[in-house]
Amino acid sequence: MSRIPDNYQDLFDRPIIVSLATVQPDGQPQVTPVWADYVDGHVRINTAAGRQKYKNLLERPRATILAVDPDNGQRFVEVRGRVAEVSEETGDAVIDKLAHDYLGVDVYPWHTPEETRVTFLIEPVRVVTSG
Amino acid sequence: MIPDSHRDLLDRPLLAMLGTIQPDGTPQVMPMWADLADGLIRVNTAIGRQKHANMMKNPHVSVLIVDPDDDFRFIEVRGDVVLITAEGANEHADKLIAEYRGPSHVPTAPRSETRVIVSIQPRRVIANG
Repeated sequence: MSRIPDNYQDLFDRPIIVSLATVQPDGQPQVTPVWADYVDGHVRINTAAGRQKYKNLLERPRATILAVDPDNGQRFVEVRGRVAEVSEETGDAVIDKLAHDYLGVDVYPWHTPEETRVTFLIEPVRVVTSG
Repeated sequence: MIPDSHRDLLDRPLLAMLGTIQPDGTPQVMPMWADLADGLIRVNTAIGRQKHANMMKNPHVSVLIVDPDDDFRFIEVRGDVVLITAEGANEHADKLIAEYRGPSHVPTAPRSETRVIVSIQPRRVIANG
């Protein structure tokens, strides 16, 4: 287990859109923009059950997250990790917390009864920093 | 394959997040400068870097560009590396530096590393927003 150095944690504390890479069934990488935070040594992301990245993370539980400083494109942290926990129980609470961070609202505005939110905790295995 | 509605994301000097696959199967993601030429996405790197080694071994890549003015507007291009060449690579690197950082940043001294142009053929494009 690795950790994000203190002087790069701002990239997860600030509402920066991060890039999440997962692996498709055919081995192709998928890279999508997501919200994230860093709590108790894990990167947390949240998606909806059934999405391609959800399937990828369940079937191939490796993920890489890149957070780039919007004020300086050469300053970034890349976290390569493994899925340590998948939780539907915290799904709604975590997306509400992220919506608060990113949108400044108390409740995620796009909740629908059909959609189950799921939280993934990514345990850092290797952390690369730049800038 | 790149829809006109999202072409500006490749024409503007925006960071392109390049996903490659490491030898152990883990994805790697790095911010890159990129442009579009004859329908191919081009990035520029140097021989010996991890992403260069990854793309030599596994040509499957993905490129994500998000509009900094609207986080919900983005394009993801999944594709295959079809060419890695040193020919014209210094000039291409200079062009990207001029576009992204300004002409005054183009180096005048010879490079100590061997630059390469990596050309990516789009296979699947996801445009959002």
